[in-house]
Amino acid sequence: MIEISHLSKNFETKDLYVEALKDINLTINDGSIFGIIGLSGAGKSTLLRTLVGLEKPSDGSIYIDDVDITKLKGSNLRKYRSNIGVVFQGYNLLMQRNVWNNLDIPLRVRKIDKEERKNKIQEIIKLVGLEGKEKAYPANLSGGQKQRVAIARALVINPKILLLDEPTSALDSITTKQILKLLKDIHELYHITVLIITHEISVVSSICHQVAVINDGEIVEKGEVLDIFNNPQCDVTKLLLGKEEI
Amino acid sequence: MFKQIIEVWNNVQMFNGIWETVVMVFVSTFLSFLIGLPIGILTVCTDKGGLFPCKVVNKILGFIINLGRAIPFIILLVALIPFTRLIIGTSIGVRGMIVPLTIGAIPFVARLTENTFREIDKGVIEASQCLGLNNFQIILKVYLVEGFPSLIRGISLTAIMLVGYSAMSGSVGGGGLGNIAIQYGYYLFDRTTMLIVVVVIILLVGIIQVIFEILARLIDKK
Repeated sequence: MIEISHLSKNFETKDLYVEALKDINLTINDGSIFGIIGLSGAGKSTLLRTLVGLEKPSDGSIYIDDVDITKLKGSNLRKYRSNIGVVFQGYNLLMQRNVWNNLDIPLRVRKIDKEERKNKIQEIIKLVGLEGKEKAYPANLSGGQKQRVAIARALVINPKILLLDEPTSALDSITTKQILKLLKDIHELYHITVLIITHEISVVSSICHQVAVINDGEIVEKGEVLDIFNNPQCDVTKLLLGKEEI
Repeated sequence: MFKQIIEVWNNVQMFNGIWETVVMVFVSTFLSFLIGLPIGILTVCTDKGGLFPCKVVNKILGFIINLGRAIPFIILLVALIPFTRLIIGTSIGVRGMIVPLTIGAIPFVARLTENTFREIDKGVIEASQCLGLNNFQIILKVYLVEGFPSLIRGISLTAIMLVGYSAMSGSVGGGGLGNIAIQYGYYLFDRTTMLIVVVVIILLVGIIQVIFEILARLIDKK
């Protein structure tokens, strides 16, 4: 279970003070597909970065299985991260390594032996549908294929939680559907917690169980997807649903 | 005319000059990367938002690099003579030039490395952190591998710069093509020799450029 309580994050520069996250409270149950939706600049990415320890919050805590991960550092942080797979916006693949080696790196640094690495990579490549592309370099792959590699790389370490930042924003509608189908399959197969950050309502409506709407650094609405979508309370939710004019 | 060129070529021992220049450039390029590369890596890592930010170290390294780059090489060449004598035993010839050439190129290599690593997408570094790589592994498996094609091109830039520096060293008793140009072209007003040396140097630079460009293209998968 992921328990985010009173989480806030401020960015301070010389002449700018931004409250990126304001008193965020969220509980994400194990094994659910949770969507966080909001317009750009709402604080979605900051929330994800805080969840993986790339950003330290100004206040509050994130408990995952009774450990406050915002306090972790160095090797403890790396140990925690070995339970989460992250798919970044923009893929962030290693451009000078082929697909196989991109997947091999996280396993190699965990000192997993060769045979096991090989089996795991083969299993995941088959799952995400990248057979025959093992030797290809990211520069020669399409957007959808790169996203598959990024998802495969996140899954190869057997994570308990899968975090995805705008997994479909750069993809066309058909590829989006294929990627969402893949995420659904992954969830059914491994029963892992999936947290998707997005600005697209279709992503939430097609695969998420619960959703939280974030606006201007605040969670304005949260609950079961059907409840929220059938009876939206906030203007932002209505706007995202297309029920209100800009 | 052809006969004249061959005559000059043999007279000034051109092959020997080329060989000396190649040795000086090769050795000092190697040594300057050996020292400059870690300095460049350290500068990037200690910078704000780097792998292990440390403002003091970063500022000191930045200052040293800028200082090193600000000193004109011909002055460094003269200033380093006592130091070179101390560690090599001589300040002339090929051996005596390795020290100033290396020291002259270190700040250049450090800045080059710094720029190369800064060009690597920060997201890739963050992704690697999330994949469980520690700082050492990120330097070794991400920075150096992702930046490798750029570094190859950097080696070519450094070597070409050092061809120029090594020619300058002819003025203070260094060997190689620079020495031939100074001896025959400057002191003896021998225009033919001068011209041949210039052409040879241009060819040398061209060859370095082509070889490394081919190498970089073969390696780069981006």
